[in-house]
Amino acid sequence: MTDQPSSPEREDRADRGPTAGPPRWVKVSGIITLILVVLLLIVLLAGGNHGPGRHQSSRGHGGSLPSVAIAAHNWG
Amino acid sequence: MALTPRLRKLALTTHVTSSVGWLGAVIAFLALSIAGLTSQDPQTIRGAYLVMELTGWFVLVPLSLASLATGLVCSLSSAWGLFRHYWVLFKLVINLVATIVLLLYMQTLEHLGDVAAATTMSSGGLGGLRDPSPALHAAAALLLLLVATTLAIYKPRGMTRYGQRTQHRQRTLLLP
Repeated sequence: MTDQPSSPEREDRADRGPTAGPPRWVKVSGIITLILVVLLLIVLLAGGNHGPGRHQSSRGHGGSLPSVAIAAHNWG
Repeated sequence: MALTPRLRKLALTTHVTSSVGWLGAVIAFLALSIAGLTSQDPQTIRGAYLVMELTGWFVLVPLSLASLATGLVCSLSSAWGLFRHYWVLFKLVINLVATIVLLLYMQTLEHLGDVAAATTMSSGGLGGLRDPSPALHAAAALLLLLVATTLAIYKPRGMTRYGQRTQHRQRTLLLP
């Protein structure tokens, strides 16, 4: 913790040169984020029927009732 | 953006409060979503979905917007800047993604709350209301907000190309 910069000025001294590349933690985080986003896209595309509109089809537009509403009606 | 030290401290206090409050509200929301998913009591399940909708509109959404707005003010009014350091940039992206997903997901929560409010179901009819998506979204939000909190505390090193250019320009201007 002691070597962590606590202000931009201290970090400025820590950076070497005006064109230093991104640090390792940025690269690792970027790769992990990319993998997670790809996995999420695969799950969404494979599973389908996801998103804010998935429950909206029956709301006042004459669409078919979702299973939740049908179940509620049957047991209500 | 220039702010007086007093206003900057006020903005920082509001940012920390709203961000940590958002994190705590997400944990409470996660507990509710798990209760709605696993409980055998019909009233508990209905109550969980009703409270989740209310929590979303009156706690999560205001806190997320406050965290985003005060975060912008804090970064733009300090030497850290908004695009100069990777940790600030990462926090901005996390905050934006979490807020946008939350606002989009509120439609689903609203629908689940409406169904829970409009029906008097026996335990046999509760299967359709048991939706794992609130728990999954809350768990993802919790992970994102924990990462953002960790970044804010540790402030890992690393300047963006924009930050390096700005720093280089400023040093050049300072030279006689």
